[in-house]
Amino acid sequence: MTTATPAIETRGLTKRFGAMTALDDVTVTIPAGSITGLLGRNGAGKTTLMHVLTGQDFPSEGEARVFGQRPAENASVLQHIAFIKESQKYPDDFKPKHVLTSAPWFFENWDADFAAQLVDDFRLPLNRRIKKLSRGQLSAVGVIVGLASRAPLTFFDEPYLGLDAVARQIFYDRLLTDYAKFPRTVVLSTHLIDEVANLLEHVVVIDQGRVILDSPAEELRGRAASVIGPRAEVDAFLARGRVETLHREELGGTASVLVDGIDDVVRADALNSGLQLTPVTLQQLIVRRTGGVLNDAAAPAAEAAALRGRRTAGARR
Amino acid sequence: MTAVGILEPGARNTATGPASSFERVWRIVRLHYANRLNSVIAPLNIALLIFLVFWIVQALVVYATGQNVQSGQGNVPGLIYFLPYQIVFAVQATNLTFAYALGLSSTRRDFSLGTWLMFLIQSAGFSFIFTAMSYLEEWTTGWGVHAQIFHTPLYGTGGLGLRLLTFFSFVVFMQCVGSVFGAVFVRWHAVGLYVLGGAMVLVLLGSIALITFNQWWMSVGAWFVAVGPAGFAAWLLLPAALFAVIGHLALRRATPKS
Repeated sequence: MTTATPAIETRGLTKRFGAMTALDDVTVTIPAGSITGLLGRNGAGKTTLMHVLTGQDFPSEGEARVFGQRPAENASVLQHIAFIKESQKYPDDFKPKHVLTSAPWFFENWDADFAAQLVDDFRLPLNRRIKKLSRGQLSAVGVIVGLASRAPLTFFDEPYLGLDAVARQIFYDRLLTDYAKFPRTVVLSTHLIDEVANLLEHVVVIDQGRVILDSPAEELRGRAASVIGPRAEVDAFLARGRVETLHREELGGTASVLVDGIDDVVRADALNSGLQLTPVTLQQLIVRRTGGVLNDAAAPAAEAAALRGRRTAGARR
Repeated sequence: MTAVGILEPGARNTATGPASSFERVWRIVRLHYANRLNSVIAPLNIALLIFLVFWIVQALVVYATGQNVQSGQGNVPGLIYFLPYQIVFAVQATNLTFAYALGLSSTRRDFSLGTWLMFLIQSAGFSFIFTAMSYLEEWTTGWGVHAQIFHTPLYGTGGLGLRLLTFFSFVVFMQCVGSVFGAVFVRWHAVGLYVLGGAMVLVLLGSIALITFNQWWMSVGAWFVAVGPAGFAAWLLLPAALFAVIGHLALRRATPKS
């Protein structure tokens, strides 16, 4: 097994563009043979990190290692990487058929039958110029290359901009089935966190160039929850300082607080206080971790108002 | 090598093993020809268009003047208008194909080597075609109308080797110039092109000024006479190689634009 060497390892990785720091002291380890979600807001540094890891860009400081080696200009590492990015450029007048002819030259595990099946699945017109493709069809080109290449390390950077729900489901299904048959390392960056939550085995969240979460997905799922109950009880519970408050909503005398750091002790404490614990999605956790917190002052009022609005709308119906 | 270890996940039985260094370069060549529209069809169409325009114009001249003789167009062979497209082609090859090649996990080094190889193949191909056409032009007395399209004053009535070398040198020179523009654009974007354009004008004017102030024009003329047409075509390969290397140096730290 190859688990001894992690697929990706960075230490103190920093990337600056002029005065802007896109990656700030990033230290992450992504295990081989996993599907990892690289999550974060627009401009958080996800694409920059993938650019550095695939040798498209160079680090300003620190180190990036892929399969134990530096990726930049390193053919022996790069030839095992497929990098599918939303902004991929193609030569002028290229058609999808040209891509499907040329990509196999670069990926030794390329499966032409699989590619053909995916072309059918995504209903991709092979003989139309890439410039004339819709956004979704353009994304399909990348997704097909990423899946059919079966590269030991595959990056999908926002792979499905413009893909409809059916096409996205096809992508998830094909990815999981093929991943089960041909285990490899997949790094997936996306905004549709809820959609991919069940796929992910490992989660890395970056915000403003810094890593704010790096852990197995299973761990994340259990550690955050909403605590709901009478305001006084909730406040007393929070005052014991065992959890971190990420977000708070209040409606009348009831408070609902999204907290991070749930364990068995906390769980028992909440239940003994007569509070309700409801699980939150990965997306909720990440949203509150990457910016939701900043709006703390304004958000509760606005959300309560929205909640009330929704209620009245429902009552009218 | 750890490469053996990392092959394991996802590897299939049919896998042929990692590409050798020549294969890595050769697939870049193939990438440039994956879509032959820009690399083969467009330049041939341009050559054909130039041929037709010059042939028709020359036919008109002969018809209007009633003189069955060569008109002034012989000083500038029609084919010279073929060369600018080679710059455009090289710019495109270095810009968009670079982004695509890196997207396919190629190294910049392999990309440059493959692109140079493609330039050589491309120039050799056009050189063969144009040389053949130049002989045809002779045998048909300028396509029946004394047209001079594939004859340059450089080789005049020179032999096969001289013609092949002349066409080859000029095409490859243009491509290497284009590759510098393409690479500078990829690396420094539009600003880079302005600086490069300005610098080239200054260098050119500076050289002319230097030669003029020092009254070296006689020596320059003497040099052209001394090296002869074959010598000049061969010497042209030197700046071509220089430009190719400059292009690669610019690409070495370039990032595909998003």
